Amino acid sequence: MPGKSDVLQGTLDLIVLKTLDSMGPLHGYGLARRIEQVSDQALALNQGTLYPALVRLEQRGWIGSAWGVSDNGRRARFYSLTRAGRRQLQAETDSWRATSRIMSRFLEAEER
Amino acid sequence: MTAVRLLLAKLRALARRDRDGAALAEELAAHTDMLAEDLERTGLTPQEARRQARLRLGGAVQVAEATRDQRGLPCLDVLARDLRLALRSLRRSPLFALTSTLSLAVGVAANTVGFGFLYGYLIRPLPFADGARLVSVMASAPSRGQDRWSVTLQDLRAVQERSRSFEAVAAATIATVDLVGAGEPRRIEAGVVSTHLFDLLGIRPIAGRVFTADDERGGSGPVVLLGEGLWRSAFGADPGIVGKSVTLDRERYTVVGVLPASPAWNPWAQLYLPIASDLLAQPRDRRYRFVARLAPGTTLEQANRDLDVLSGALAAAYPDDNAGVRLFAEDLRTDLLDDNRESALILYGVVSLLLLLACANVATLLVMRSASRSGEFAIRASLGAGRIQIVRQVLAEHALVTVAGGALGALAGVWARRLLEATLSPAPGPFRFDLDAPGGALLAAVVLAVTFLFGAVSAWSVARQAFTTQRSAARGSSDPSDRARLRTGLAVFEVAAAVLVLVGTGLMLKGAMRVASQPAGFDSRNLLTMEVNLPDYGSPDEARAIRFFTSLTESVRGLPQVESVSAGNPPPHVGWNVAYEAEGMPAQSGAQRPRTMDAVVMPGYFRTLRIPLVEGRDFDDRDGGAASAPVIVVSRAFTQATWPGERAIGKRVRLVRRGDSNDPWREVVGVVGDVRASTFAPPRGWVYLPQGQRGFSELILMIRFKGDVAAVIRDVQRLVWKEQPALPLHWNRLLDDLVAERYWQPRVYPKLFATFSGLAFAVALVGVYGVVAYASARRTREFGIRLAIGAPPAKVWRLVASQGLRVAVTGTAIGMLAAFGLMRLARTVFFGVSPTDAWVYASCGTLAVVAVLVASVGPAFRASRIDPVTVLRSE
Repeated sequence: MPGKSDVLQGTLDLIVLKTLDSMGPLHGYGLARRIEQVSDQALALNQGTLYPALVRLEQRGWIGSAWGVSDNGRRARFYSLTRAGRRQLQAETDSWRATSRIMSRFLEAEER
Repeated sequence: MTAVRLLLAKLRALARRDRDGAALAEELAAHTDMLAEDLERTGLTPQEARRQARLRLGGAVQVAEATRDQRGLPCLDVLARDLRLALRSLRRSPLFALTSTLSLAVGVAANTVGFGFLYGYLIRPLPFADGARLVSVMASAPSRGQDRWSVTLQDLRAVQERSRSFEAVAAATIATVDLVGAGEPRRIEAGVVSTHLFDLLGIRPIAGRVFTADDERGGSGPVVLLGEGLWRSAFGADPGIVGKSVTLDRERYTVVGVLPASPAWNPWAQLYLPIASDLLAQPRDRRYRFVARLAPGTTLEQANRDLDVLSGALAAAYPDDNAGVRLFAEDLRTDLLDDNRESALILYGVVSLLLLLACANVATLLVMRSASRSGEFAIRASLGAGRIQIVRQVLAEHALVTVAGGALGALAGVWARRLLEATLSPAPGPFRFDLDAPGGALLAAVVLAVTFLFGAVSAWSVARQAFTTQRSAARGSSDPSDRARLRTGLAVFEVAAAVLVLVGTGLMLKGAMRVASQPAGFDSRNLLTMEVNLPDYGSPDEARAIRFFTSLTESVRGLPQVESVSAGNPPPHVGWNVAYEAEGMPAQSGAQRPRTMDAVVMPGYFRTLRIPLVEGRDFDDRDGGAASAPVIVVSRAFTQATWPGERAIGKRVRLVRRGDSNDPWREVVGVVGDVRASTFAPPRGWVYLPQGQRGFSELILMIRFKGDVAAVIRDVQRLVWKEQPALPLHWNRLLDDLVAERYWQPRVYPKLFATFSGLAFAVALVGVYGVVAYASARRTREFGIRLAIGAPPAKVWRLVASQGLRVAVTGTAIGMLAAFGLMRLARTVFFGVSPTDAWVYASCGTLAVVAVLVASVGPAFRASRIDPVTVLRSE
């Protein structure tokens, strides 16, 4: 359990950015639902994790937010990717791929 | 860049924290509702769905807190909380807040003043372009008794042509000229300088131009640069002055520019003339000093080695002028500093000690106060406050005191410096004592570092105490020994430092008093000095000068406000010295010859200045004219140095001047009392020659007057100008003022030191009181038990008082030892300081011990009045 949350800390930014990139503007709940779905219920985000992350991303200028109306007619805050966020997503994706490539090589080498 | 934007975003967030909080609450509520709705759809009851949603999403308060921390700067919140808490707690004990703030304010104020001197003299860059590479070049000639001698223009040429150590070398000297035609005629000091001096120093004119090489050749005729002060006072700051001409010594000079008052190259020069053809034609005149800029990469040592070689060559080329003469370079600041370096350092030492005392005070008071709050801290600790939190809280209180005390002290310091500055005119050379931004920052950094260090130590000590108290559940009423040592150590330090300053100041004041109590030898009160220079324009006429001054003093004597008048040169507070031979002394030559101060005076000089005639007679009408026998009047100190134990009257003396070997053997006809050139120097021998046999064309009228000085000046001017229209009169000042101006340090320093040491002593007493009071407060329970089992109150009283006594005696002993060591150094700076004056040591020591005992009376009395029942019940 603690392991899962640690991984989350490091990669949550990337996950949020990627989700907003592929889904377009989402409110907090929608974002959480989507991440749960994609991760096959492995990542259940509570609010204490999600909202500080959103604040962090917004203060860095990677996402923007605006109040809007949800599908069921409720006032909600929608988050969307900014241009800087898109660049950041690209950079982080690349670096993540590189890291994971290196890591998997190591792990494979160990197994052999 | 990103970091900055982030910080800005966070600061913005701090400002609209409430709005963000409300928005987040709404957002979170929407989130929870949506989850609950989805859960409801899976078949749960609405209540169950909401419960599940809340469970899954975490507590709303914690989420809000985590988000807020992310959004803002949580450390600022904590800081603000600490400061609020500290403010509240300080308000609860105003006496502590006031005492420690004032202690610190005193320390900081004194430090601001003292540091101003240190910074101005030693640290602040000289106000000249690239001042660090500027040096002075002068000569030393041990065989001629000269260690800081002037240099010549032929030396200048050699240095310029043959030395590669300097990028540029310029010569400068001082002359006096008569300025006529601009307001009242006046006699002023002129800097006579190489044409490129101002370029070398990087001084730009405020109007017109500085000199050019062409001015040296006289290309534009005689030219002059006005100083800003003269331009304003004599020419009404005429904006069109450049190009106009002024009359100096009867010649017309064209004004080519105006130089700024600051940076002043020479604070006394009011205008500048170029070293031009007439002076260039006399390259052997030994009257200059050089200012040079070291070549890039050259050190002062290299330059001096270079000058050594050059001095050898010069001695060979000009044996008459330069045999035994060595040129040397000295850092310009060192040259300008004179002995101000030592006095500035000593002053700063005293104010630093004062600051340390103040900091120690705040620390002791802080620790002492927290002792009475040990219960509060123990409760906080047991409620889960970490050691860091307690340290932080004490530090916050300390920081508030520091900021308040520091700000107050800085304001007081700036004000005190202004007050002081008024007494320091003219500013000595190019030094300024106000603090510019780097100076202020440096001072603030030092003060903050010192106070923080003390604060940190005391905070840590308080925190440790809180934890010890918690563990021992307030039962261990005895004081843990290491902390007691620390505190006692601080108290001993405070007493020692106070005694050190006290003894130092005592010695210095006593020295000053001893010197001041010896009469200066002349009475400078109500004495007007007016310098009169009868121009000779190249052809000295001694008979004319004698006639002029005799008739002038006659007519001045007739003025109603004038009690008596005479004239002489130089005045008693200045001094020129000259070598002499005396009958009955072994004949010596060169540097071995004894030297004395000398002056030319008119009859009545001693009476007017109230210099007592000890033996023999004053000069009179007999001592004039070619036929008169050469006579001289000598001072008592001169007699003692020359003919110890013998009568001087009737013996003969001859003055030996370079280039004037004809002064005859003179017979001593009178002996007068000693005068001191400086009120802080021991009396030196003086000899007086009669004007009637010397015929000086430049004398200073000494007028003892009653009533309004301005009226006297006007009347004398009228008399002078009746005889000699447009003759400049110089000075027109009271001798009192002239003396005070010339010796501002001996006047100002004892007062400064007395003030500072009084303050230091008061601050130290507060600290000692704190320590003794604290120690007895810690032992309340013990005293209670003692009293309960029958100890007489007097015994408890003695117990507490004896602790104060121990601190007093140890501190005093250490302070005296330190004073003894340090004052040996100070003796070189302050004349009259005797480092082993038993009276001063004894009285300062007694004062310190008594004062510390008095400070411990209060706590001791309180300890003996403890009600044992109350104390034991309170456990």
